[in-house]
Amino acid sequence: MVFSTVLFLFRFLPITLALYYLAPARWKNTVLFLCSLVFYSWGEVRLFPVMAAAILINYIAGIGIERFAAKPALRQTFLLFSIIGSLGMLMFFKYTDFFLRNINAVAGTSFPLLRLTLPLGISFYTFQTMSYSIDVYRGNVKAEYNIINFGAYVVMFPQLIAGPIVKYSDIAERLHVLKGRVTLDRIDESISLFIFGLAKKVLLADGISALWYDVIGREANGVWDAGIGLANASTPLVWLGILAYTLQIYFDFSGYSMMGIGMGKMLGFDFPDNFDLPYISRSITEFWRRWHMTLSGWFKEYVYIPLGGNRRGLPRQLFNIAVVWLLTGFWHGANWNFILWGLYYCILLMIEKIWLLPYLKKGKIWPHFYTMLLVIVGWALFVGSDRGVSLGLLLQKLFVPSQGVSALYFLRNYGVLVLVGILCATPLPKKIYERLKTATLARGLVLLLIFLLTIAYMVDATNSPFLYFRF
Amino acid sequence: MFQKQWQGLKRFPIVPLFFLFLFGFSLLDMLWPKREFSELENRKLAQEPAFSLAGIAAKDDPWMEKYAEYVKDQFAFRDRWIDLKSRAEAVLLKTENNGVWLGKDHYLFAKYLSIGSRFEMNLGAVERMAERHPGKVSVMIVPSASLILSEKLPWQTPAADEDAALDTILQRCSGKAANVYDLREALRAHKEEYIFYRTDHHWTSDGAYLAYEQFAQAHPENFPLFDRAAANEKQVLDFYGTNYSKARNYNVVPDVITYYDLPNVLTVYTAEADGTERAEPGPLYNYSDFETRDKYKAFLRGNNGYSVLEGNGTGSILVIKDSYANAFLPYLTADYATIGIVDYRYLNERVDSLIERGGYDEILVLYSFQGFMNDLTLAAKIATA
Repeated sequence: MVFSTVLFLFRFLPITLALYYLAPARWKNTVLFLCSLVFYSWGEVRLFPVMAAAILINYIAGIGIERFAAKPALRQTFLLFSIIGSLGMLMFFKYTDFFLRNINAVAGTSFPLLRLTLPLGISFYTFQTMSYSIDVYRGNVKAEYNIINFGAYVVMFPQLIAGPIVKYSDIAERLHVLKGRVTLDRIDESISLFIFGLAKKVLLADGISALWYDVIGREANGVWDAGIGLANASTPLVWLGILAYTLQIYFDFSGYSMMGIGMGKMLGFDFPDNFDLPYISRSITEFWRRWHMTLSGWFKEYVYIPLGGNRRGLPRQLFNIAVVWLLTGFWHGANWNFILWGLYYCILLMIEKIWLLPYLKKGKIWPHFYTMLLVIVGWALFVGSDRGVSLGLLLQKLFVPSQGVSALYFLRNYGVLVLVGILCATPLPKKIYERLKTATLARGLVLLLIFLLTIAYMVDATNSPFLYFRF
Repeated sequence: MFQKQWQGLKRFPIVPLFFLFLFGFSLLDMLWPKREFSELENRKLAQEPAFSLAGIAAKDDPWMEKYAEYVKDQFAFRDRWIDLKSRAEAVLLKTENNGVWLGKDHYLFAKYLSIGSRFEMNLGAVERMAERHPGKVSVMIVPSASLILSEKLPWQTPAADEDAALDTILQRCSGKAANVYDLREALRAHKEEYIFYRTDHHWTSDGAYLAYEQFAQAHPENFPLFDRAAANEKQVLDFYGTNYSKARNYNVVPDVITYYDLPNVLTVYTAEADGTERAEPGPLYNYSDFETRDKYKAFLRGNNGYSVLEGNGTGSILVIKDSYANAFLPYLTADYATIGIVDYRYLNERVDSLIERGGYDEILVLYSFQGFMNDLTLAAKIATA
């Protein structure tokens, strides 16, 4: 189920909230578990066994690790069982065809591709379950003996499909607070988060994305509408298009996270932040501290630091960075352009680490331009395997000036929206909203207006799933 | 205890208001009357899908998706929400909404950025049909309003290069087809007149008449011209067309439909389930459709697979067409005794079989350019015998 639909907002959410609020304290996790299973199955009932397996494997592994605390070999076996289980599922569904295709290309074989449907959110929940068993192994959290509590954690609908990646240790405590879990201050905060998140997705991301789809084409009602076609667009239009994509992916993904965090609070949970205005960064290093923070945090905690982090000298640190970024790139998609995108950031981060960072810290304006330019070029690499795009042509269009359909119509038609988008990527809206904190009436009216507008856009929308659903 | 909760709610007044709205509106929406059809959007709305286990497990378009579509289509105050969105788009100074360009002088144009993927295939099929029936086939592809009235498009609109595509049709069909009508010059010469509807994607009866004049010129001198002054001309006011159904611009100016109320009989043939054909003779227009929103549908009693119009002239012609031809066909009653009309979106019989069945002397392929470039059904039925 997609958050930004009438079905979710006016059926699933109110019914789930009503059941959850009315349920006696000790039944709350059961209600949450069952409603989340409905949410998950709505998209893909045929892949329900995958979810069941993910829950069972890690549930058993967690208990095994804790029970056999005195037998290191057995503990390790259970940990391996969990990691191989989670990673194995991820590899199988997401990467099999990529490897088969490359083996076929290199060795001239012709293994048939599996063409599997990627189970919804698998990239996210496998990372979450791995965090659980590793943390139990490390003794950071206690194993969960109640399978309903554990299941509720894994399949919890606000964070199931596209992050934030919530570690078990982030919510273990709240999961066991039964009485008084839901608090008014949390709900009050959640309403703003939810409505602003929804607006980011429906008003900004979907609106601005139309510009990019005008250029590369999009599928509408099962038919491919070619749009202008990348080959026919002029260089300024392609830059405008990739700027639109830059805004789209941010509002799409951070909007989803915000809604997820908001609904988490409605249910009485505190999920970690996932985005902190990444486009105001003054270096790539800073950008990655502000973008998809829970993913960077995950790799740092479970890959970078175990590899030695920065404690074993610079060469080893650079190696560790390279490993993390190869994995980050590959996590985003089973395609070479994502690996390239990971390498791109790996190299930029190394350059900053070794040499550039002190200069960036001293600069005032130019580091913003430096960062945004590189980030936008990064998104060009990222989008390089989308339908309607070929990476070579896209880069050529961006960097070799060429004629074609001009950007003027698009500036005229989308100009105001793009401008609003750029402003909303700065701290300005938050500052204004903070001012309204005391003026309850004004705050209520702002929320009402935005909520009504998002509903209007949702009702008149063609289907537009979130970008990160594919990852 | 309630005292404490009341104090809490007073501290967070937005919380009860939000839940009141969320739960209240959800309840209202569930009780809201369901509609079969949206007049404003001019389309059937999704109905509650029957619940079945097979439907849930289906790989393509499972029950869940149908249900989501149903909830969206039947949402309470749906038409008002769509109006709100259209106004918000206007505040953002947009020059388009839902795939419709908002032009000058209240003209609305279908947005298209590239030549449709079926153009090449359909053109090839027409060529092959013309080669199979030498001297018989004529081609009339009507230019889009956005090409003829290009000055009315929003600033710098990047419409697809239709001129080049029309040149291609001309070039490829010349020599194969008996006639290829290039209507650009005739329509452009009258672009200040009311030849295209403002709110609809069709041309007006005036626009179609310009094409008819060119059609007549290509025929022998004794070809009688449909006399509009003598015909029973009627008007229908307040026509809100298909482009308006999508764009829903608040500053819309409705169109006026002009039609000629002729006594000629139109027989519509419908295939029955047992393979037989049912013939239904009747008037040229379905007058009750002029009372509904989708008024253009009254012409030729809607889009039918195969129908035959009895004319007052001599000889016979088969017109392979999309709905653009519906405003054009009444004029042909002056010239032919029999006018066969095929809309391949609703008919499976191949063209050669139809020609044989009706013994047609002439064949005219009459499509709007945008209909021709996107049509999925035409090529397979005319390319080969």
